[in-house]
Amino acid sequence: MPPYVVKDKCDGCKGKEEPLCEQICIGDLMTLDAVTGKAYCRSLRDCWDCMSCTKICPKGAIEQRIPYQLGYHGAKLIPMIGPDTITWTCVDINGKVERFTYRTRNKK
Amino acid sequence: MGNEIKTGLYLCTCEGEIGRVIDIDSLAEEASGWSGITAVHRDAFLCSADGIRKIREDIERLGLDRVMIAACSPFFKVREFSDLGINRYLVERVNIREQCSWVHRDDTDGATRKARTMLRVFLEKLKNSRPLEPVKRPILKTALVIGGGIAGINATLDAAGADCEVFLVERKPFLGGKVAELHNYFPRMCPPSCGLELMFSELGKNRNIHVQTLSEIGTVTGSPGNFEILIKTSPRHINERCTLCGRCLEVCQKNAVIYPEGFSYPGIPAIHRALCEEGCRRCKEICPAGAIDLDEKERLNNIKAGAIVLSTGWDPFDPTPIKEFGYRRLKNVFTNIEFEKISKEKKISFDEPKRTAFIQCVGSRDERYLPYCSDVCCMVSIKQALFLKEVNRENEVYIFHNDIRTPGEYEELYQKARKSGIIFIKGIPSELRQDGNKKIDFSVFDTVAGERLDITADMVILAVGMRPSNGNIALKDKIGIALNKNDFIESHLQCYPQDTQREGIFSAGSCRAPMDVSRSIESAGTAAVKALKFFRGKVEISADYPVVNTLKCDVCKRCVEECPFKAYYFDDKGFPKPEISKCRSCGVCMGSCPLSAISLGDLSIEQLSEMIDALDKSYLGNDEPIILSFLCKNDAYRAVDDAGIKGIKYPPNLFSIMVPCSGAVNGAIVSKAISTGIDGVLVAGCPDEECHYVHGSMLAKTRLADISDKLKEMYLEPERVRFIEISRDDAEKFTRSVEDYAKELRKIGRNPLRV
Repeated sequence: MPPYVVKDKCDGCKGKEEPLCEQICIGDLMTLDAVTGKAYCRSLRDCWDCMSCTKICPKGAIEQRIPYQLGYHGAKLIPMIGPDTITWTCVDINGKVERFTYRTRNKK
Repeated sequence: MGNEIKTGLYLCTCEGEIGRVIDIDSLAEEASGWSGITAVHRDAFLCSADGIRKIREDIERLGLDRVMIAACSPFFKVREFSDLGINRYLVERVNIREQCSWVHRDDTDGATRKARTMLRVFLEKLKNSRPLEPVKRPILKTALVIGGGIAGINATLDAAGADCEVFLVERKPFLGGKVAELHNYFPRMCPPSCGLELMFSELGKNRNIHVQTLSEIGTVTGSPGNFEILIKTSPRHINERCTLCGRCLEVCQKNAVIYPEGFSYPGIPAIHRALCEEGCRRCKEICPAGAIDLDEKERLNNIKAGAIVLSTGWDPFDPTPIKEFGYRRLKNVFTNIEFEKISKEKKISFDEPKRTAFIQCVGSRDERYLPYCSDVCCMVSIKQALFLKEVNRENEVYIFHNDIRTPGEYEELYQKARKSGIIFIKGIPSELRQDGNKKIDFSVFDTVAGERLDITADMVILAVGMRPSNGNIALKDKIGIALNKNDFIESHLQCYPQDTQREGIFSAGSCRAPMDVSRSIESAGTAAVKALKFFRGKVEISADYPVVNTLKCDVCKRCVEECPFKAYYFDDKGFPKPEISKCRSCGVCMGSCPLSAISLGDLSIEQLSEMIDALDKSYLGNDEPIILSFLCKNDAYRAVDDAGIKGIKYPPNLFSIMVPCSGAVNGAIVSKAISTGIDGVLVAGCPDEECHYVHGSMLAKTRLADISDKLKEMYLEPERVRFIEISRDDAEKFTRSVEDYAKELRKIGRNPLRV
């Protein structure tokens, strides 16, 4: 299932050439809409759900729809990134919330 | 480096001010066991000569490479602790007085717990701090003066007279600006030719001065002390071989030859090519000296200058939009600047006595046009009225005004005008009408006499004010100076009137505010002295400028976009890099970087991250909320210090870290704070319009709003991050918000991410 860009929040990474989601996407699927200057996924069916774009977006403007194999409608996976931490919030279809904080090796 | 540092911890009891509340002895004992601490010393009076000597001795004797001073606010005793014989970036001041003992004096246990946490956190900061040296750059002792009016000429002469090389650039073909167009100056009523001629001859004599007319500023690059300016010079089409025979003027049918007046500088005519008849080369053919080159092209040259003096001058206000005065529609209605020309060139015969009406404040002190007083118009009208009386005593002169403003010595002229029979009426005419007979009729309500007057005049002079010339707006972006709401150059008026907001750039004359000739010359002198003073120093760039970690940077250019001073450029490898002489180390780039790749020299992302790890989230027990606050250095931190000085209490739940600007707080740091269990993050910055770094606090607000939204998505309370606006004097407001916030967080409950 593809990423969903919250248009009000996306600011096209201000530089307007290649936003961070475009740079990080392994499938080269994200790009800027030339008219609105907002990011979008140009081939929804090719997305591998890696969530790199969700994690890197400085505005928190990209949400991920979880593929049905992992959880049906209502399930959510939300990352929050610190300089050397990542906190995952997992919500299942019954609304049960679990959170996990890990250290990452992003420090240097 | 890691844990192998040797830190000396110095705890001051401040004669009981700290010791009475915080249990310094137990802290000292505990801290001596921490890794990284080599020596612990307690003192009742650390800032005394003995205290300082003790620190200096320890550094030498024990080979300390870090010093932590737990005492008063870092804004106190700056001089005492500035020279400890160790790089100042390796000294950390922990503020356990203003932000701990004084404000938590009723809660000795809480205060001690907080002080302990502060020591641990700032020790962690010290572990990752590096020695830094400020960068010194030499200053080029050359000045560029932009605008060759009376202010520009005087700034040039003053600076060049002090043996400094000066480039003077003027857009028009001749120097002298508006003053050259005047008939005479007040209060001595001498003609401008007299003063200007002297100045021009000095300009010509001094070899330090290089004048470029018909020239405009292309681009300005470089930095204070080392500007590089591209100058575009339009062709004059006539060179120095010109003998001023005047033949070109005679043959030209399109008035394209601009001829110098008696005292113009340079004394060579110019040809306005745009006015030329196509294919006409008569002037070139007739010129006996061969001085005319009609095919001359625009030239570009580069000037290197250490300082820039702006003297772009003013333009008269155009009264056409004020329909009731009929300017351009009615005959014999002139502006005061037009009347200067009329009186200078005697274009109108004054043999027959005339009735003339001056209308003051045309467009001035009017919100629709010029909201300010132009300072000179009262004097100009009095001068022109006296001239009318002089040429023909029978001339009848009225001055219609709101107020007459003739400060200081100028009052004499006003009295002289009254005695000579000039009639002053307080009241502005409503509408000017003209019938076929060229006379102008109008009525006016005399507010002093309380009656309506109907007047028929032969001539009406509109006393229009001064507005900044277009040069100000053109230079605004090229040079990066700020303009005020009326487009004059912004400055700190009462203390540094001639300094612009950029270092090394000064203003002279009417581009800063409306001025008469004498004040323009004064301001030019001030600007020249400021430039000379600037030349004597070296540009010293504070060592805490930001550094981009190119291993992490993805070149998203957000830092380039958000830098308030446009200091970022791309280096040869394509990575953003701050031009350190433009940088003011506000850290807005550090806050902006989505990849946390930018760090200030004295406060890195890594340091902040380690500090958050070192912060014991349960320092007040498991149930008390912890608020981590980031305080802007200029206002919020000082306001919080003020709370300590005034003795306003707030709960010890607040733990503060100083940042240069609220805009320096990176979202990742806030996220980490929440992720590791801090209950609330409070960022305190200046109100939007007061931010010292243009839009730092505005950016901080939007970043926190984004995090707040993310928290909501995570089923956490969005109130866990908050921005508050704190001005320098908002100590009470701050303490109140902290109390409220602590209460709110207690109600919300513990951060579920706290382990």
